[in-house]
Parts: sequence; C-alpha cells; structure tokens
Amino acid sequence: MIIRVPPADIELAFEQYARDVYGWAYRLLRRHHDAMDVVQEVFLKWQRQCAANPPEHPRGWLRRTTVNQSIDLQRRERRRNEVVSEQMRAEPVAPDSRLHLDRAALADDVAAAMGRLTEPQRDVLMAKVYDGLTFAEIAAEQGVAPSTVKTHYVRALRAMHDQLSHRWTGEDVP
Amino acid sequence: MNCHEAELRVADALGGELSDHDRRELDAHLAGCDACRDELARGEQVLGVMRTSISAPTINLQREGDRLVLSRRVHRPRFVAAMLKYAAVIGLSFLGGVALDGRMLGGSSTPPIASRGTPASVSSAPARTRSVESALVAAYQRNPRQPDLAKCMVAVLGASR
Repeated sequence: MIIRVPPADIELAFEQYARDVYGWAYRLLRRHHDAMDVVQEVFLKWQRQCAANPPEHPRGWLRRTTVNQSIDLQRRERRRNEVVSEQMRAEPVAPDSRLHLDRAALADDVAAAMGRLTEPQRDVLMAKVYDGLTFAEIAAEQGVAPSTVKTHYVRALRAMHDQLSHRWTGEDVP
Repeated sequence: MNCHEAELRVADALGGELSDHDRRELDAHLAGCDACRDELARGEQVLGVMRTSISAPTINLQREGDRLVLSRRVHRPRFVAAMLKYAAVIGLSFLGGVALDGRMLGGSSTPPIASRGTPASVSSAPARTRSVESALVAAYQRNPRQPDLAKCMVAVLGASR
C-alpha cells in the first residue's frame, strides 16, 4: 500500500516523522493498512493544526495524535468486529495459528488498556516505552517537571497492570 | 526514604535510569516495603508484555517526482538476487583469470618472475596455477554449496595453460 501526500507544507514533517508515526500506530494496531490509514489521518490533522497554531513540540504532538487516532480506530474496529469475533472464537483453531492469535490478542489487550489511561499517562508511557525518551526529555517536551513525568509513568504501569489482570492469572505477582 | 520518594526511584528503575547510589537506597527501602516491591514487580511485568507483544516492520519513504511515497519495504525477489550474485562471481572470476593469464604469459607490463632468471622462479607460474586450482578444489570440497566459483576459476585457469 502506498500513501501519497501533498507536497510543500507538510512534506518536511512527513519526511522527518512518517516512519515514527507509522511505528507508533503499528504497535497499537498491529495491522499495516490500519497503521497507514492513521499516518494519513495524522498528517492531515497536522496540516490543519499548523495552519491554525503550529505545535511547539512537533514530535510530542504527532505521537499524542497518533496514539489517540489509533485508539479511536481500534475502538471502531472492535465494535464492528464483535459479531465476527464471536463466530471465530466458536471455531476450532489450528495449533500453528494459535501463537499468532495469542500475539494479536495480547497486542489488542495492550492497546485497549492504553486506551483507558489518562492522556498524560498514555503520553508518558508511549514516549518512554515505544519512543525510548528519557524522563528529562519527556518533561521538556511536555513542559512539566521530571518528577511529574515519573509519577505518570508509574501510575500508568499500575493502571495497565490492573487492566491486564486477566493476563496474570496464576502468576506470582498480585 | 519514604514511599513517595520510593515511587520516583521505582519509576527510574522501570525506566532504566536508576543510578547505583539510588539503587542501593531503593533496595534498602524495598527490603522493608511490600507495597513498593509489588509496584516494581507489576511494572516490570507490564513492560515485559508491552515490549514483547509487538515490533513495527520497516517501511520506506521514497520520493517519486513531486511526491513522497511511504510504502512497506519491498524485498527483492530471491532469483534476482541469485542472478546478480552469479554475475558478480563470473565477472570476478574472469578478471582473476585475465590477471593470472597476463602474469603467466608475460602479457603485463611487469616482467614475469621467470624472466628474472633465477632458477627457482622458472617453474613458479605452473606451480602457482596448480596451487590455486587445488585450493579451489579444496574450497569446493569444504563448501559444496558454492560450486560455481570453483568451476569458473578452474575453467579459466585451465584455458590459460
């Protein structure tokens, strides 16, 4: 699949950040075409945002918008596929495809759990885990104190653990 | 260290930014605090799931005229890669053969070793040829998955004699 973007005003940002936006979206959605749709949407939003009020921290803005867009898309897909998923669950699954389904389900669970975090928690978690930024870098990007970032990070992980509680059944950690 | 301070150190630990000094202080706190110890363990568990659940594939960003095109990385078909490799082997073998041929027949601007008149060097070219040939045969026997290189080189050396 190929995405074409209009030249000129968003070209520079696209050149610089398109791969990152795709990577963030793919990690949450696990589907190439969905991630491409998100890339397209995010840069259209970027274009509108730049016309109105250019973001002070482009990367942070793009990450936040990508995550929100991905989570919205995932919610819509989930609602649309509820009936289909029920039918699939009723069908026997071949052993070879079980691992793939498990990984897909795990990724869906992680994305759904992230969707239930507060926006600051989600921002920090994405920036730290999927973008590899330091707490100081995230704090500078968001204009808050590093201690605030750390608090969001710990609380995001705590909330994620609660959301994914069904994954820890039978394990040692509460 | 109280639990509020420990929370920040737990964040550092989970974020891979804990200094040795802070680690010692945190360890001392965790030894007597189940809640903070559980916090750290839960965080590690979630991070493990997040990091292993998915990795994004590589994509390309290319310019096509006045457009930028984002696309999934296209893998070159295997047979095209194999043909390129084969062509490279033949080309190198040919060049190697020409070089050896030139040295053995005195075709290069550098005088051949034999023309310097030292008795030991008179038979050095055939010996060298046999040596290269036997080395190639030995290489082929060691690695029969690359027969083309050996065949080409043997053919070139045989033709040059």
